[in-house]
Amino acid sequence: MQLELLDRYAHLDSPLHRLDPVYKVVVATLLVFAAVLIPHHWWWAFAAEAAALLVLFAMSRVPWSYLLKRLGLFLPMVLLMAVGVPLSRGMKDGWELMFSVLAGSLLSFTALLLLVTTTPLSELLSALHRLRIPALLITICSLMIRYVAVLLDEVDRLRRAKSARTFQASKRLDWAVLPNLVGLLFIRSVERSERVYQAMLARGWDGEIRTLHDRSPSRRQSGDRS
Amino acid sequence: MHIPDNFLDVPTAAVTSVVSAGGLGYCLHRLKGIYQERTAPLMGVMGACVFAGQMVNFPVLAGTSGHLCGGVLAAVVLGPWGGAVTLAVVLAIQCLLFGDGGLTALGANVLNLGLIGSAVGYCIYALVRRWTSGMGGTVFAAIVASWFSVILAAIACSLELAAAGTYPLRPALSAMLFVHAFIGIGEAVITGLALAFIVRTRPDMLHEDRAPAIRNQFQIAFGGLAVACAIAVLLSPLASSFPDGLEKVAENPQFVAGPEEPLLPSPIPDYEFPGIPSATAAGSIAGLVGTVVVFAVAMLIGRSVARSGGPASTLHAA
Repeated sequence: MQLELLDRYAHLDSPLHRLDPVYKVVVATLLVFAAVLIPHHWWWAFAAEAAALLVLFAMSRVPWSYLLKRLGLFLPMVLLMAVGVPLSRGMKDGWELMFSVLAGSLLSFTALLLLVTTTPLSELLSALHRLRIPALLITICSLMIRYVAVLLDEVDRLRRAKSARTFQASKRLDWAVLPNLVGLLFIRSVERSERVYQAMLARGWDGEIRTLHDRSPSRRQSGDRS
Repeated sequence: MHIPDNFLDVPTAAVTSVVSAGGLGYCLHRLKGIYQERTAPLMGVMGACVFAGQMVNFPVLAGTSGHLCGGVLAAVVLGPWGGAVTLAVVLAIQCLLFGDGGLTALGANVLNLGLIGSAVGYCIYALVRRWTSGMGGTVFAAIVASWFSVILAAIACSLELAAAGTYPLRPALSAMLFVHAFIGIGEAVITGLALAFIVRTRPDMLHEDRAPAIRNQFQIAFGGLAVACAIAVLLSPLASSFPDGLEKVAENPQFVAGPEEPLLPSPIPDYEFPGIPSATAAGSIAGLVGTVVVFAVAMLIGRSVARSGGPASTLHAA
């Protein structure tokens, strides 16, 4: 479903895609922090970072329509929060603060988007692991990413079952049925986690994930990537 | 309630990140103690479950819809540590993959929705649960807890935004509280109905309380003191700058010339502690000191009444 869209541009061929994910994570994080650290009225600094991000985006060969689509989804959300700034502290200096907050938050969003679009999720997680994020957290995240698609399908099945038994949808009926649907989703998920755990045990699970494609620097020097 | 990037300044982001990293580390440690190597599959699948559950839209008013946040529901099923970790993982994935909530604000979001929205929500649930019984009691406790958890998360969120200087505190807090009082009702109703379904279908699935039972009345008393102190610290800066009704009338120049000198000099004039420059911190400290003093006095009265053979249940009822 939606997750296929996320990895859609992760396997293109560009300098950004070939770069070691660890560097990409570090650079993206620095760009996010730079956007947050820029003082409120340094418009030229915002412009400079925006230009840098646009150049990087052009290098990545990801279609521009994708950037616009994601920005279009992000903008209404952040605008709603940003409008509160001039409303709550007066129109005069409120507008300036609002636009710089908005600019910084758009730049941070674009930097993260660039990282996620050019890096396959599995490589992103292994890069985070190499950057000393605890292994348990990484394992939980990677299992979660695998099962989000499965459970979104589960929600779809539950919804389909509901509409198959409902001729006329009404608000009252929705409120009577949808909470049960959420409850059922929880029950099925706990049961599924049991089955997943049993299946993992059967394959030798001892609390640690081991992968064949370990892109650690020592491996790469011995010609693993050539 | 996801704070995007750049709405928090670096100090606020750093403090909230350190607090949530510590809290999350502790939760993971406790989880590993309970579930051992089952932790990863359970948390992974439940994270996906909460994520998918948030995609179920409930119709609200004409055209609009809302969804469950699920902090308390997850905590009732998985326990406070599991609930907080589940929500934290969901927030991390939403931040990384969907840009929903910023990277620098991730610490604050995990603190608000994971640690406060789920783990603290569970504490409220466990507290209410003690005074109720049966399946209805479980559902009732979860309903109360999920409303309060939404409100507490909203308070924490607006305190962070105000500390960062993005919004002034009072309008942000009142707007957030107003909106989330309603959002909290939705969350509470959905949580209650969904939990009622789980309790009817799989009552064995709920997290059983492994915490040692509260042994004596002093633990209850100090638990109450801790909650009262937290509320006092959070809310007194707001209360301190609003003159109450009588004071406002008295300050009106047409009414009297001005408040007269009090008969006794108050130790904490106007609820603001002398010698501390920041009015907010002074308000908080004054609230804290006041709470402790009131508590100590109540304790003393309670004990003396109990000892003098009065109604012995005074302290139990308190």
